[in-house]
Amino acid sequence: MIHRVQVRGACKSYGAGFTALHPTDLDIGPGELVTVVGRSGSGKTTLLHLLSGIDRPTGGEITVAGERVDLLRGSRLASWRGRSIGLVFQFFQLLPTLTVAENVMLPMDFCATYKTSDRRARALSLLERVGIADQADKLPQAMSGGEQQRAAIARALANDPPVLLADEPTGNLDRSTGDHVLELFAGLAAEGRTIVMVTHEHDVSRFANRQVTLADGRIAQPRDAGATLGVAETVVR
Amino acid sequence: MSRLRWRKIARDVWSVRLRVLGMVAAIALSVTLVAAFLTAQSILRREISDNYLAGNPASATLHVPGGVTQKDVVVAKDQPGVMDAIARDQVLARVRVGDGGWQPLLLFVSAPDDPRRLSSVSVEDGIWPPDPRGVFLERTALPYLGVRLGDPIEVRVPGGATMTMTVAGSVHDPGVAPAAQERTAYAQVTTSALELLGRSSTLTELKIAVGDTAGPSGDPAAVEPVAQRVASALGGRVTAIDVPPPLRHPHYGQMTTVGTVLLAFGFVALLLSSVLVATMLGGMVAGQVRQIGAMKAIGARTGQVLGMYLTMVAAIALVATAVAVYPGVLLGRAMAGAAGDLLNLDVSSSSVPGWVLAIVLVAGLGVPVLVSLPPLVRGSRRTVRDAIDDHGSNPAGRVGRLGARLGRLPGLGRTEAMAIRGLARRPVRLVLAVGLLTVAGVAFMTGLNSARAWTQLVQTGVDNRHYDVEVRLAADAPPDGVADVVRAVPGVRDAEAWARIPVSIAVDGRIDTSHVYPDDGHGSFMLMAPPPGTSLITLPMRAGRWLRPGDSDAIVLNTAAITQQAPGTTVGDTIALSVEGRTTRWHVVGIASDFGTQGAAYVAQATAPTTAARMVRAVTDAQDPPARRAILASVEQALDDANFQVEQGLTTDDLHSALDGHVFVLIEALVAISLLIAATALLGLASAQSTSVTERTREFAIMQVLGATDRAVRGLVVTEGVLVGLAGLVVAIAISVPVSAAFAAFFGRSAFGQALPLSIAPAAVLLWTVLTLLGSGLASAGAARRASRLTIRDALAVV
Repeated sequence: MIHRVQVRGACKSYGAGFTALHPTDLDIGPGELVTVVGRSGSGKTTLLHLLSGIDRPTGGEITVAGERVDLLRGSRLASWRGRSIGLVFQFFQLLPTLTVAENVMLPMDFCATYKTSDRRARALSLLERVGIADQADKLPQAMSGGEQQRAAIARALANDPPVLLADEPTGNLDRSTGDHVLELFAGLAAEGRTIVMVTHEHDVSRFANRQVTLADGRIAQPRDAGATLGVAETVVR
Repeated sequence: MSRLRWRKIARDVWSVRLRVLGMVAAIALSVTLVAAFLTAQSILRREISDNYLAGNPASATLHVPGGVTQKDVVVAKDQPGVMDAIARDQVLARVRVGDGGWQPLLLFVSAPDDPRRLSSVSVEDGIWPPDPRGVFLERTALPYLGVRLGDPIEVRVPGGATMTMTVAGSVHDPGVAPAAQERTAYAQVTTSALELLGRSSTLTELKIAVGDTAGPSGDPAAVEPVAQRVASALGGRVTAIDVPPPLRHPHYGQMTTVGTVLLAFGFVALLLSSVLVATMLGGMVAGQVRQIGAMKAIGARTGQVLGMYLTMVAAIALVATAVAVYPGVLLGRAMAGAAGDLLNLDVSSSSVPGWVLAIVLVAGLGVPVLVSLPPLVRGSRRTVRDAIDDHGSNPAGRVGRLGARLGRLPGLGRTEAMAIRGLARRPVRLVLAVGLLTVAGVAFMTGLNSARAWTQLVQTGVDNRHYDVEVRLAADAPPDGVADVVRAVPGVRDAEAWARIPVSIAVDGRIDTSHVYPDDGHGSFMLMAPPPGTSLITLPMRAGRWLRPGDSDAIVLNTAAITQQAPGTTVGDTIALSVEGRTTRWHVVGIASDFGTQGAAYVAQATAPTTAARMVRAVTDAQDPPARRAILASVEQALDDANFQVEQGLTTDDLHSALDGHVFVLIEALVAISLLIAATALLGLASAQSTSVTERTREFAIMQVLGATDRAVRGLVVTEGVLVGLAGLVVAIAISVPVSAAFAAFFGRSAFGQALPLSIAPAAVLLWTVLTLLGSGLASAGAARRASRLTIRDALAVV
């Protein structure tokens, strides 16, 4: 079940006093686009970091793309992250001294997933897919925010990961550009990729299969009380 | 590593090309120094040996006053361990060119048919042997005396005649120092010339080479017994034996010390520049922390990230080393040439051994990579979370309690308080920048302090002598008579006649053995007996006391005597000295610092083995060197007229010049190197400031939003730089004192057998203060200008 995300009692505390995420259960199936919303400090970014192995839970289990993320360390974690998940950030995080195509080729290079001779063609095809193939040889700074985010999505897809994790991917874009990016994510989910998107914007839920609301480090009770597996979720269709 | 990653490295480097240029320059500069010193040292070590050994120097010289016969030579050659033997002689004479004054001239005498295998010199001009009135001058004596081939010179031998001789040729004798340095001319003549000069043509020295089939022996313990055996075989006619340190040039020790010191400074420079590179790269990596996070987020492992940055350092170091090797070798060759001139060596080959290039390559590549490793590892190990959390809100660290307290010190203005707190936010960087300036300052001040210590030592050596001119006699003279003659010379205020006898440490059953070199200077040991209550010399005592009236067997040794002749001797010991074949026993009552002479032992005139004078020292009215030289000429003339056998005359100016000639090249090199180190340190400070400004771009923008003027921002950055300079200055001054003392002790003892005094040069402190404060201000000026020119929009856009 490489497309599945499964969280069992995962929690995250800092020192003795502060708990960013209380024990949480969450299941996300293949092809789902789930948005995680909540106020600042609600624990949504912590949850995303735990899913991507950027941070380690202080308790519980997390399985993403068939691996127990909480057990992975060092280069195995890096390798898993490069091959199995695609990360998209609010501020794009493109490497400024590489062209857009080179940015997309970089994950393939680090994880040695495609033949060197095939990498550029794949990068161009991914850029074509996100609609910026004509910008392939530009440096990121020469592109608009929306184009940079598309390039970042293309880079996240470089190693064909089953799971995409996005942290406020539209937070730095205007509404129209943001909508285009969200449509892109919806299309990717429709292809069967599992997507978890952290956002503070509630109206992105129209692109999502489900919305998880976090408050004070806990998944909030849904208004319609549709609890499953002991987890409160709001399903928006 | 893939081409893609290479491309990223190349573009990253290009994006900060000025900083990288600074790194390359700093490493290249220091690698140049290391390459130069290693090259010079390798060439000199080889050439000094080759030159010295090419002359096949004798292992020992046996003094046979009755004359060395052909049979003696054969007997010597038959002794086990003797490879070769030859009869020679040497006479200390005087030379005069035109109407000039008399100058010391050491004549090396050999038979016209001498095969010149042993203790040989290479003829550079002329055909040996010359006619009886011909003299072959050592090549450095030609410019010293201002003569050319074919010119006439007047030569006078003590107790002999004055004869006009012709400069018939020139030789190179690598065993003697340049004439100008020793204030003595060296020359080769035949026994026929000696006869014409009124001396017996009988040769009185037997030179032997000791060794086996493997070659000449380098072990003094092996040479001495063989020499003693030869002396016994000659039936008790040998009165003394000279065994100089075998196979070692007289200046070998000095050169080795000098080379080591210079090399150490070179490596300090390399280490500093590497620290500088590490600082710069640390800053660069700090600026790329989000990129590192992004790379890790897309699958890069720590090793891959580290590999990229290490490749960058290695590439920078490689370029710097490649740039530095050739100039370094050229500089090293030039230095070897200059040192060769100083030592009177022919540098026949400037080829650089492979190991030198290997060390330069390993050092140039290895040191920067190793020193850069910690910040690079730290940077590459940043987790994705760290990197992503780094929003630039507090990139320059926290002020901390100490910074906050310092910033509240009374009397501080707002700018100074902010500058202190700004610096306290990066304590490691602060320590590094202060450390760089400290090391540079310590090197700079140690160099200048050493120069001052040397000058002081030389000056003290001269000041301890309250006489102006000294005349040595070749034969015994009545003390009163000779002193009276000198006192009668116009311009002479007072004169004293001293006994002066060559001695050696006596060992029962052994013929006197000394360690003097054939130039009769290096390694010599003299017993001197000043008149009671002498006013012409006051030596500072290192231990014990000076001679007193009523002393019966008291002796005062100088430090050179302790080092060269009787190591380990202390006050209270009894020492046995052989004087003209007789063993005399003395009680050591004092050890005197007597810089400027070779080994010397002082005893009271009343207890001296002889009452005869062999030296006159005089105080004159002369105020300058030419006047002193003129009076010396008059003194010599008066003594000649009174039939005293003048051997050598010199003024204290000659002593001064001879001592300075040995060392000032080193001191100048030290100061030059410390200036380079200072430049490296200031480059480091500029880099640290630049990094700090990059990190605090947003902060400066906020300051501007709040109304800070460009000038205020500039002032803040420059104040930070000057504060770092000030801290580095204070620490450097404090540390330079013990370091200068240790260096002076090490250098003095290694090179001259006597520690240089601790001397703090106020000029060095002042100069370094100006250099540091001005330099740190200027080093920060670029960063300050950049900080003040940032537009608020651009600055706030930086994340």
